[in-house]
Amino acid sequence: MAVLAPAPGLRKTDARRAHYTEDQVSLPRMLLRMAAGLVVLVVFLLPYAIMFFGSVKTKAQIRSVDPTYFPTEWHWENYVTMWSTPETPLVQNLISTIVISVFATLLVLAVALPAAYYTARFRFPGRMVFLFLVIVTQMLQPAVLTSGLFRQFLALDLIDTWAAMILVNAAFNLSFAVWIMHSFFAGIPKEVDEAAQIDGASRLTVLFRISLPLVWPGIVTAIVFTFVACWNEFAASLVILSTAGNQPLAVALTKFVGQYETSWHYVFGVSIVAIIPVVVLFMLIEKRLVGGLTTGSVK
Amino acid sequence: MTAPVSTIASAPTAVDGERLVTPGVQPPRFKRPRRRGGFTPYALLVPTLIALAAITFWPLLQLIIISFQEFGRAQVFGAPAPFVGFDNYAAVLADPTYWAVMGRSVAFCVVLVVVTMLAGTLVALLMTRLNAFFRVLLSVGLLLAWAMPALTATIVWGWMFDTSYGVVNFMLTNGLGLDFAQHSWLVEPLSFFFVAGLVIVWGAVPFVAFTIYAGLTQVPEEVLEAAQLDGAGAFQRFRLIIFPYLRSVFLVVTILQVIWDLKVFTQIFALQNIGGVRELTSTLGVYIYQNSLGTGEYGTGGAIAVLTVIFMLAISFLYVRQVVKEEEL
Repeated sequence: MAVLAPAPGLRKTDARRAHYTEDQVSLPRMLLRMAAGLVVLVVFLLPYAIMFFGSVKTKAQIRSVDPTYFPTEWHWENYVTMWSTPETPLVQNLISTIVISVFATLLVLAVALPAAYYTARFRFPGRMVFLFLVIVTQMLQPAVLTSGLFRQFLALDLIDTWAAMILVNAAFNLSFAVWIMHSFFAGIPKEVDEAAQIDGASRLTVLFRISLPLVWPGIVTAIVFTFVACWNEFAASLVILSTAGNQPLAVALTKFVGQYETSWHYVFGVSIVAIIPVVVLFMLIEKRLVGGLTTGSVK
Repeated sequence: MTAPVSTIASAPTAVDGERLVTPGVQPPRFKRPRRRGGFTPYALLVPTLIALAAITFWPLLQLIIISFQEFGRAQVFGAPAPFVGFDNYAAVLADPTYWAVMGRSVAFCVVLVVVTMLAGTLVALLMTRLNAFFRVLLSVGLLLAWAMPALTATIVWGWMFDTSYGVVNFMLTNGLGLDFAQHSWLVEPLSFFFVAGLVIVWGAVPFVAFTIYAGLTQVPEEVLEAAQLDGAGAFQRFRLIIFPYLRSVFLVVTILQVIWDLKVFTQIFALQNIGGVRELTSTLGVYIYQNSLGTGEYGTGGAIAVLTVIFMLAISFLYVRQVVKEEEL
């Protein structure tokens, strides 16, 4: 077995972008693929279109008896007025959501990454039991968990704090992150690690310099999954965070849904604004999703 | 940490960017990788185990205790809860409604998992075949669907399938000339599950597609090229090369889908509120809610929840054993 240097003439970026696509794709084929991509895109964005059109209508237009899909007048001011409504302090809600999600995601990564690496690389007794336990966390409804959580944080005197929600969100997603990254670490041929060790790299060096770059796609998946889950977490936030300004957007949204009438234009507008940070985060790490480059690592 | 600090200094020579290169003159230091990691693996798992204990096993324990008690509204307000042995379980298992709900949930889950996995895999494969621009565009679209809370998604889809002014009825009637004016999608159970399934699959495909796409990037190109040169068609390449490479990813994603689809709650609950017939459309997740928070019979609800967890455990056990076996080959 030999460890290879990059083939001469093959630039790294080429290899990244090319995947295993045939070099020469006929034009109709490429167009067919693009058409398929567009169809998929439209299906996934359809509800957003409905939300968007709803977000620029007035309350009266949404509730009219004969509703139109396209707004007759465009009320862009909804996107300005929604920040200062009597229902909820939206700016604080946004800050709260960002702080909780970012720190919870960082915490999950710091703990889950080494754990996933070691469970995939070492045979140790109890490995299967651990992976099994991790799956069990996915089996319970959040509603079943919240009352117990409330009592735990009451005992810790952390009720109505960001710290509590950072811990809760991290705990909710930790097992999943370990699990998904585990399966990516397990996908790297062991020979790659062993070769590096024979070449004198330490265990930590192997983890950070060799294995990590190869499992970036798995890490990105775990980051996106964790961040989205934290961003939308609802059941526990509702119970643990009581001050309006501490509450995340998911809880703040429900304030627009009243017993007698609902400000749908704000519900939809806030939902659309709330998605922007998630997209920004994704664009920042998107390149890593195609970074896994085991190509030529083992022969 | 077990790693000796001294070796870090020599490491960069062995790594160039993301690729390994043979070190120049440095004599290789043979260090046998230890089969067992000593205490390190356990130490690294401790935080995860604490989190697991706090958010899953403690509540699960309480759930199990309640399922053996007579636990109604009075007990919520502090009345003592007498233990009743297996009475709650006996009552649940003797109730034909439970079996109807169970059968409905399993059938619905099987359809959902198959459709989600197929669609997710196809989207992931499509992503590998698109150019960078379209791929990013598609991933952002998928991300948007993924990041929409289930409740919001259900409300919006519910609007689209609305009886009197939904866009679906409008298109079918005015676009295709079918008689769908004032057609109610949610009254008929099969049609209800079609809409519910659409909302659930729509929300689940992005996760599956992303995860499988991430896995696909790990399949070595040379192997696929070689197979293509040897005349393997697209389907054969998938079956013989891609699938074996991604087996553990597929197993993980499938088991998660099975669990999530069996316990699905929000979409069914919200659609029932919009206009479904509860008795004919309840699945396990909703049924547990109806029998605990709904009726105040927490003992009965607990028993159903525990039975559901046992059922999921049985399925997962077979899967996890499979994953571990595959990796040990």
